[in-house]
Amino acid sequence: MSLRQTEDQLTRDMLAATASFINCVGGVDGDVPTEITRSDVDTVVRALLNNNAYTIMDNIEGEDKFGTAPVRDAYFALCSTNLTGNLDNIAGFVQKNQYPAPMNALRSEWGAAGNLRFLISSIGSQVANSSSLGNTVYNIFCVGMEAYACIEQDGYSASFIYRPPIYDGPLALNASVGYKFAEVPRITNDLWVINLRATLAS
Amino acid sequence: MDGTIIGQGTFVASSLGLANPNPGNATIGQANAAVIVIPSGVDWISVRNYTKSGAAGSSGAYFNGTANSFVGVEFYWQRGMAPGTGMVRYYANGSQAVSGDTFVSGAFTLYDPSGQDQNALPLLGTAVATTASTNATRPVVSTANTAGLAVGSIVRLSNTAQNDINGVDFVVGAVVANTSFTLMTATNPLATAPGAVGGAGFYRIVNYNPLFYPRSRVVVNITQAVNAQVSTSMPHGFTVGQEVRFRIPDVSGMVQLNGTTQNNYQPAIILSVVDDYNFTVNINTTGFTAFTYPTIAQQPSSFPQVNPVGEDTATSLSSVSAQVPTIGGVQIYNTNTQILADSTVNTGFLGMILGNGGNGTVLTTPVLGPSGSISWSAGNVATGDTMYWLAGKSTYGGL
Repeated sequence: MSLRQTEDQLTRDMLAATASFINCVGGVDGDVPTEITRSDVDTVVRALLNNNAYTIMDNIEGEDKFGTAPVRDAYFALCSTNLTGNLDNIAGFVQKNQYPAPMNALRSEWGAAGNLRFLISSIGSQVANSSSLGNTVYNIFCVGMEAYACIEQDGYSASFIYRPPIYDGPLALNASVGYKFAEVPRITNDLWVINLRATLAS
Repeated sequence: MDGTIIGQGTFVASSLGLANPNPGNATIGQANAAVIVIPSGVDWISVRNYTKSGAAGSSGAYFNGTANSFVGVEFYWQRGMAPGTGMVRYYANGSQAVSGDTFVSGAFTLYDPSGQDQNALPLLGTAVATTASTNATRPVVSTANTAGLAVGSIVRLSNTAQNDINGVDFVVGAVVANTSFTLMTATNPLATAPGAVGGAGFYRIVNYNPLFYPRSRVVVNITQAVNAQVSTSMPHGFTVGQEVRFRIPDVSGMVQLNGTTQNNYQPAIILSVVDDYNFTVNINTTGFTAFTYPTIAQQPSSFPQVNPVGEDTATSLSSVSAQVPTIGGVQIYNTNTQILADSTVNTGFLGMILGNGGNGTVLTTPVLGPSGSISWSAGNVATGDTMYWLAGKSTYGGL
């Protein structure tokens, strides 16, 4: 656990609480929502386009290289690492090593489908026992440019606190370590962020 | 330092929403559970009933409708004790002779919405088997175990045949002990019954709201009216003047509420808050397609929802006094009020839930818990006990 990770988790939890959602319905796992499919990707991309959300990443032009494919300009899709297998099965999914210019991929990027580029994290949002069959539901936050922001509060800059043992007990046996910060994560335009909810294919 | 006291305080036992259990007679009854905020987490807590310490004991206090309870005057919990338990001292009937016991339940429960404290109330309760649920706009779910359920609890069903109900958080409107519970209250039934009965499945109690306010909510009904009334599956917490947008799937009919370029992405302004589950908006839906809640036959589908997007300042300024985000008459922790009531805030805190009592290990009858008791007059006027608490943290030892 670290300060920056806590910031990420709070931002994640804000998006999970407030953003509108669309259930994946194109899959065949028999659950509600289903696993993610290309039709679900198209649905959420179309919704963002209809809301005039700007894409975040420019397209990557095709090149004359074996096994590569051009990548469209894209919104970001923020999700859990547990979804990687299901992402690979999306029709038309392009792994980041198939990008014509892989150096343009982010470290946390897994690949692209349609106009979504998927960024994965071990602390990606998930809700336990929240599907019809009692399975974990994964929140995939599909965001356009400037859809949300994190505002640090003046006078409450993040600080790392260390109290050496001599201040923490009469026998100086234990130290205390912690951190504190104040920030406000919030959605700046609700039309530009949609939570695509999915389960894992069985 | 070892044994550092990190907080102390006082509160008055809450009778909000309660009625005299013995109407027309002077009576002692249980209070609502209380939640106190204790920053940094807590390793031990002591609670004392200031009011009842100075009175003779009674064995006839009401608990869950039965006049067979004592009133606790001193309570203690320390990390390592099981959730819901704690130690209690109470006065014998008609005297101040002290007896003691250990609560089996209904005493102290750590509150930590991060889900990272194994000793705290879990984010989600354990799965409890259900045997059936009715095909109704307020489905009645049959189960042999309703432990922990009360009117107002939030539950999440799974694995029943009603896959349009499963996975969505619903408020409980009625409970028949160890027999059944009813989803939704009389004011927020589903617009449409699921379409078939549900077979066996499971329910889990949802112990925490999402961390941040304001929150998206699943919509269960919208009227066709000049000022449409919106019903949500659980308390919405919105205030007058807040703006919301709808995301209505095709299967729910009233898609005209969705924001599009044609309607300038119409945000709806909340004109009135009817109750915890209903509010009206400034959109005339009389000409819109009738709203339906998705049925079993329409699954898989998305669910209709309402999402907070901001605030209409003019409406807010015209009703400033109504701008307090509440659930059950209690302001949602850490929320702002008046024209800032819509602001995004983290509602999480570390604290302790003080229960309203339960059976002791020795006693076969209950003792009223650390949330105090309510003294009812013959005129049914409630007076809550004054309670004092002291909480601390230990550097060494413990769990």
